[in-house]
Parts: sequence; structure tokens; C-alpha cells
Amino acid sequence: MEKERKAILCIDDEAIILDSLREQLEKNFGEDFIYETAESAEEALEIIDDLEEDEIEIAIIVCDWLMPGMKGDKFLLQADLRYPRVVKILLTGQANQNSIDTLEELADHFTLVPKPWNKNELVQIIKSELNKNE
Amino acid sequence: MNNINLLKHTNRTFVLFLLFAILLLACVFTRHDDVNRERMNNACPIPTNFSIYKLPLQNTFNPILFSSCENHSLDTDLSEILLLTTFRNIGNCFSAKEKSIFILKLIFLNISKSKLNFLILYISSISVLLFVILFLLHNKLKINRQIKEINKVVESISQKEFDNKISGKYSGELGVLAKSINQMSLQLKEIYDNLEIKVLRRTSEISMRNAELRKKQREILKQHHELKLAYEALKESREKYEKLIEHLEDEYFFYSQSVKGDLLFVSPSVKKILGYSVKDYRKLHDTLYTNNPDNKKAIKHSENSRKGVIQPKYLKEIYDANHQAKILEISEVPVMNEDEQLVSIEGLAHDITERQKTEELILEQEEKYRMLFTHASEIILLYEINKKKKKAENIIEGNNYAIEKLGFPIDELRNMTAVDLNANELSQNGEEDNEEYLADGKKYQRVWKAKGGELIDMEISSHSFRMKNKHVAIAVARDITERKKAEEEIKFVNEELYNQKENLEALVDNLTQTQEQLVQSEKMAALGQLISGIAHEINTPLGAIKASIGNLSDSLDVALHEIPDLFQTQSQENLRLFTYLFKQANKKPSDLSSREKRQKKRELVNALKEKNIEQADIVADLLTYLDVFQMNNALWNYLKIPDAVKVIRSVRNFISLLKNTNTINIAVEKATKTVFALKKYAHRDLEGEKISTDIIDGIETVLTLYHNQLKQGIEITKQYDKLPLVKCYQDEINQVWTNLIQNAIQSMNQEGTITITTKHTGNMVSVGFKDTGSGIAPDIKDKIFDPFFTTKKQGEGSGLGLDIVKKIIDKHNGTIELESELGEGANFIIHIPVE
Repeated sequence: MEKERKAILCIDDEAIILDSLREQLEKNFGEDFIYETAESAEEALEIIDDLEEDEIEIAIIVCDWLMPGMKGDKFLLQADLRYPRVVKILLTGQANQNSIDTLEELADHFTLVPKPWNKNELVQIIKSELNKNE
Repeated sequence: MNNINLLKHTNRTFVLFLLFAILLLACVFTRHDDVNRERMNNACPIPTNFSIYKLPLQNTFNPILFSSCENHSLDTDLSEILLLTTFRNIGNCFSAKEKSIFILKLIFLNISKSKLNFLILYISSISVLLFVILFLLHNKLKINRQIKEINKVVESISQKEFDNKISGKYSGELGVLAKSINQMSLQLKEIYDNLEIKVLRRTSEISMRNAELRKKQREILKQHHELKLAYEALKESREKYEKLIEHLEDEYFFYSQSVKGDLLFVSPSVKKILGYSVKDYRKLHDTLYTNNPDNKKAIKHSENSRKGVIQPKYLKEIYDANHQAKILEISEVPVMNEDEQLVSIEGLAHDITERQKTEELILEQEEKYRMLFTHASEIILLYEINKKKKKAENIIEGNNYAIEKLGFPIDELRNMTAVDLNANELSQNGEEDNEEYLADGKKYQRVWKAKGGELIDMEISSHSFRMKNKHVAIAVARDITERKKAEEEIKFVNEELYNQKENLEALVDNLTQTQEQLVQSEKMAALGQLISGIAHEINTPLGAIKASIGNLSDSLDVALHEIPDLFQTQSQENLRLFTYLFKQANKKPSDLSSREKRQKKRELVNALKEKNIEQADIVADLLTYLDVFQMNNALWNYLKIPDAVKVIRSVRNFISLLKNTNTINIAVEKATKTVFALKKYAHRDLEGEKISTDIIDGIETVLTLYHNQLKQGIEITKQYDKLPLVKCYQDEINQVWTNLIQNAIQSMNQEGTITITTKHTGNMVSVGFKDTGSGIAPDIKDKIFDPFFTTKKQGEGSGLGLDIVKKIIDKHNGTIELESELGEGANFIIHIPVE
């Protein structure tokens, strides 16, 4: 039997981002994780349901903020309610200071990483978050 | 003439025969001589016999001397020669035929002279006999001729030609007859001459009588003509008088009144004038007076008349049959008998009602005009004009206002001319200023000097006309000093206004510039609002690029490490798997959605697990990455080889290189598109000229910039008709699309559908932006294009968006149509001309 793999969930409405993010994470975290991608928060919720059904634990959620439909911050807040221990990263593309200020107030619930992100930085943050949880 | 010819002919014949006879006789005698000579041989005396014939027609024949010598002894030849000579002499008188006969005869005679002596003698006797007959015949012809001559004279006498006389000598009875005829002719001539004198005298008497008669006839004709003229004149005057009487009957009636006052006679024309019959008028005449107080005088006059006092003409007013007042002018004459006693009063009544009315009317009108003239508040001057000298002469009349305004008493005015009133007596071209004072109707202006020296600006119009035998003109002059002042003021105000207008124009220019600046700043404001979205739009591809480059680098590292191992140590099967997968793999970023991929991956995992493939999850992950979902026996076999996962990882690494490269390409394209749109949008058209613009391209640019905002919840439906290039101010028109899209997004609260429609009809293009937002309330429909009008919260909108849209569309000679109902969204439709 294989050892239980945890899932990393990537959410972005832009396919190019989603693909490259996913690959980036895959290259850094290797095959120890299952990688799931969703193009919207709604789809991500479906995936979470599927994963729960499959009894697969979610380790990390990396989500874009500004997307059609449910925004990233809202989704992460919901996710936070269900999975408080999951590492949650919000990628913020908009350089709107007001929005950032608002989002920073939610820093307890998820970590903000501005777009375009630095790979090492992102990986570092995720790793430190993972360590926190352990 | 015929007679004369015949006579000639007869004479010729006669002479011919005579000659012939003589000739024959001569021959006989010659023959006889020869015989004698032979017998006696002696000489015989020479008898000489001359016959002279004078031919009756002078100038026709020359007298021929013919000598015959019977006893002369001549040689036969000689006699022949003689004959021939004689013949030659007379030859001219004969025709050729006669000549030849004669010659034949001579020849014949010569030939037979010796043998035929006897025969010749015989023929000679017959010839003599013939001669006698011929001679008698000749005499008869001669008498005939004389009778003809006498006849001719008698005929001429009968023709009143008395000068012809019978001139020939006639013998015997013919001579007596000729003589008596000549005498008779003389006597007749005498009688005829006397008669002619008498006739001439008589004729002259008759012609004198004729002349007298003609004169008389002319006189009679003249008298007749005069009478005719007189008749015509009479006829005409009769007609005139008839007309006059008819006319008189319309206005006059006669009457005769007794001393007591009864009417003895009234002329029937009273019926025409008053409508009463003679009978009625006789009855009523005293009762018809109107209430006019002047009638008292009339009654008095009437009474005086009846007392025999001759009255002047007087007026009375009475009612006619229609109860209309009629004014009668009465002339009455008392009639006396031989004893100087008053018998009656003869009266003539003249109906002067109409005349009176007309006179009153004239008086009234004259009064009106006089009032108008006197009290008019314009200066009115009447002055004489001299047409020949073209001069305005003395003023005849001036109204009160003229006297008051100009200060000259009327007497002084009458000694002046209109020109004298001018402050400057010479016109502008230096001549005496008369011309316009004589002109008709045209208005002209002069400065007049009042007596007190005051200068008055006048506007004058004059009209000339004929009054009796004078040419006069009436001039109406209006004081326009005040008006002139006002005009000056208006001029001044106008200048002021003009200056103000200039200022305003400058201001408008400023405003236009400001508007341009406003459009620009609105554009920039919109950009500012968009900037975070745009930043995202650029950051997204940048992020992707950044990640992809990292991935590339990682994959390349791994790939470079793996290549030697792959080609040196891998089994043939592994290489085949590698090649197979590399061929099958999708080298580009996947077209499948994450959801589809997940689904396919799920199926793949199950399939792999069924086939007991080791590390099914990981293999599924890798194959999903490669987009290889089509399973076949070859692949199944490959997957069963021991190092399959490792080989697949290798393939994945290589494919990753390609996939990431493609991702970078796509990302660069996206970023470029956004940057390009941004550049296009921010472009400021400095030349300020219309350029041919692709409207749809402009809309697409704006949509690109709004992409990030729109994708958050707004669906864009495009119903594009193909549009021609439209002449417009490109950056301004893009601002219109921006503002309308911005408004739509805001009205829908970021969620809904914007339907963009383009249409091309004739020379117009229309672009519609229909949203599914809150719509616009009817009461603010008119206000939404006003500047600074906004329904948005403070800080969300400047209130200038639609104002700017309107200004820009106005600048393009376009229109904006708004269809909206509250709660059902709004549809802004822009119409702009292609050119």
C-alpha cells in the first residue's frame, strides 16, 4: 500500500498561472503530495468535497484573490472555518493599497503573497507554515 | 389705187396694140415699095408723120419719139434694126413674155416677108380695126376716170372739205358739171363757214349758262350741308336738353302757389324727389316741415313771398314720403296781373340734400385733415417747388408743431425755404442742397437749425404734387435727435457686446481647451480606476512567466542530467515508451479545464489500478500532465515495464520545457495585448483632427483594459455588424466607450450582462451598450447628461462621465438615444455619421 498523500490545492482563474503554479509546487514538493487545481473558488469547494469523500487530507491551499465569482479571501475564510490547520496562501495581484489593508486584517486566517510571487519566497512561506502546523 | 393700176394697164395695152398696128402697116408699105422699086425704080417723096404720145402717168414713161417713114426706102435689115432699136427703147416697158412674142413675130415676118405679103395686109386691116375699137375703148375709160374724179370731189364736199376743186379740164357736159360742182363747193364753203361761226357763238353762250348753273348747284349743296349740320347740332342739343331735363327732374320741381298758400300746380317731378304724388303733395305740403329750427325762417320767407315781397333763395327741410329729411332750396317769384295785383307765386324747389351732405362731408374731412396737419406731432411743411430751376421755394404753410419746434413764427417761415432750415446749406458734395427736398417718398436726414440755434436731427420724407397751377411739396420731418442718441448708445452697447462676445469666445476657447483637458483627465481618471485591474492584467502573465521560467530552469536541470542516462542505460523498451509518450504528449498548455482534467485523471487512476499498474496515482498524475488519456495495448504493455514511471517522469520533464515555453509565449501575448491597449487608450491625439477609426477595435481595446474587472462577474455579449471606418477623434470616441462600459459595470454592481451591438445603416453607425443593471428612473432621464449629476456615492463618480460622452458625441454630430426602464437596465445607443 502506498503511504497516504496529502493534497495541495491551487486556485486561479488564469490557466497559465494555475498551470505554472502547480508545476512550480510540484517541482518543489515532489510526488509526496497530490496536486489539485481549480479555476474558481466554487470549483475548489467541489474538489474539497471530493477529497473529503476520498479521505484525502488537504495540506496547502494557494488561492488567487481576484477571480470571477467568489473571491479568494472569501473562499479562504470558508476554508479556514473547515480546515483551520491547512496552510492557506492568498495570491494578491492587485496593487490596490486599500484592498491590501483590508485583507491584512485577515492575516490570522491566511497568508498574503503578492503577485508576481517569488518562487523561493512562496516555497519558504509554505514550508514554514507547514512546520507551524506540525 | 386699183383704179389707177387698171388705167395704167389699159394704156399700156392700148399703146402696145397701136405700135403693133403701125408696125404691121409699115411692113405692108415696105413690101409695097420693093415691088414699086422693082417696077418703077424711081424715088418717091418722103412723107413725114410724127406722132407724139404723152402717156397719162407721169414719171412712169418717158415720152418716146417714134418716127415712121413710110416712103423712105429702107433696107429690110435696116428696118429690122430700127424695130429692134425701137423695141430696145421701149423694152423696159414690157415683160419678158411680151418681148419674146414680139421677137417671134418679127422673125416670123422676116422669114415670110416675101411669101406672105397678102396675109400681112389682111392682118394689118384687122389691126387697124382693132385699133379703132381700142381707141373707142380708151375714150370710154378716160370719161370714166373724169367721172370718178368728179365723184371724189363731190364726196369730199359731202365730208365738208371744200378746198378740193375739180382741176382737170373737162369738155362737154362733164366740163359743165365740173364747173357747177366747183361753184357749188365754193357756195357751200361760204354757207358752212357762216354756220360754224353761229354754232361757236351759241356754244359759248351755252357753256356760260352751264357755269352759272354749276355755281348755283354748288351753293345749293353748301346750303344743304349747312342745313344738315344745323340739324345735327339741333338734334344734339335736343338730346342734351332732354338729358338736362331728366337731370333736372331728379333735383327740381316747380310749383305755383295761390296767395292763400294752396298749391295750384306742382310739376310731376315732385314724385321723383319727394316720393309724393302731385295730389298728395298739394294736400300735404304745409305739414311736412321737420323740427329743424331753421324751418322757422323758411316759413317766414314763404309768408313774405305770399305778400308779394320778393325773397332771396331760402332753405327748408321737409320729410319725404319715406320720412327722410330733405333739404330744398326754394326760389319764389310773385306773379302780378295787369293791375299790379298779386295773382300767384311761382316757385322752384331744388333738392340739395345730397349736395348738402357732400359739402358737410367735405367740410368734415377738411376739418379732420386740418386737425391732423395742425396738431400732428411731426413737423409738416408745405412749400412751393420750382421744377425748372430744381429748387425748393418759399414755405407756404407750417403746422403748429413746426412753429413750436423750430421757433420761427409762421410769417417768418413763409419767407424761408426748406433749405434755409438746414444747419449746413450745402449738401455733402458742396452743391446747394435742394435735390432731396424735391425727391419723392425717399427718407433722408438733415440737421436743422431752430431759431434759437438749437440743432435738431431730422428724418424727412417729402412728396411733391400739383396744387392748382403750382408745384408744391409736403415734407414731414421727425425729430430723431433722441433716436440718434439712442443709436449712438446702441452702437456703444453693441461695441461693448462685441467686446464681451470676444471675451466670451476666448472663454469658450478656454472652455473647449478645458473640455479637452477634462476629457483627458477623465480618461486618466478612468485609467486610474482601471490601473489596479490593468496591473493585475500585466502581473498575471508576468507571474506566469516568472513561474514558468523557474519551471523551465528546473526541468532543464533535470533533463540535462537525465539525457545521458536516458540514451546510454535505458532499455529499448524504455526508449520506445519515451518516444511513444513524447509523440503523444500535448506540448502546449492543456485546453482542458481543471474540472475535465480531474475527471479524466480519476478515470485514469481507476483504469491503472484495474490493470495493477504500480504507483497508479503518480502515473495518472504524470499522464494527466502529458494530456495522454488514450490508453491502448501498446501503452499498457509499456506501463508494465519496470522503469516505466521513471521514463514517464523523463518525458514529463522534456514536455515541461515545451509547455512552460508555450506558457511564457501566451503570457507575453497577454501582457503585450494589455500594454498595447493601454498605449492605445492613453494615446492623446495632439493634431486634433478626425481620423478614420475602426470603432470595433476601439471597443475591444477598452474591453481589454476592463478585462480584469469584467471577468469578475460580467458577461459581455457581442452582436457586431461589420462597420466601415468612421471619421472621428479617436481618443475621444474611445472615452465614450470607456464611460459607457464603466457606467454599465457600475449600474450592474459588477454582475450581469453587457450586450454590445454595432450597426451600420446608410451613412450612420450606431453602437449600443445594453446592461442588465438598475436602469434609469424617468424623472432623471433628462438630467443624466448634465455635468456633475451623479447617482453614485461621493467619490465613486465625478458626474462628468455622461456629460463628456454627450459633448464628444455632439462634436461628432452624433446623437445619443437612451432606452431604459427602472429595474430593467439601460441601453445607450450612440449614432454617429460615417463621414
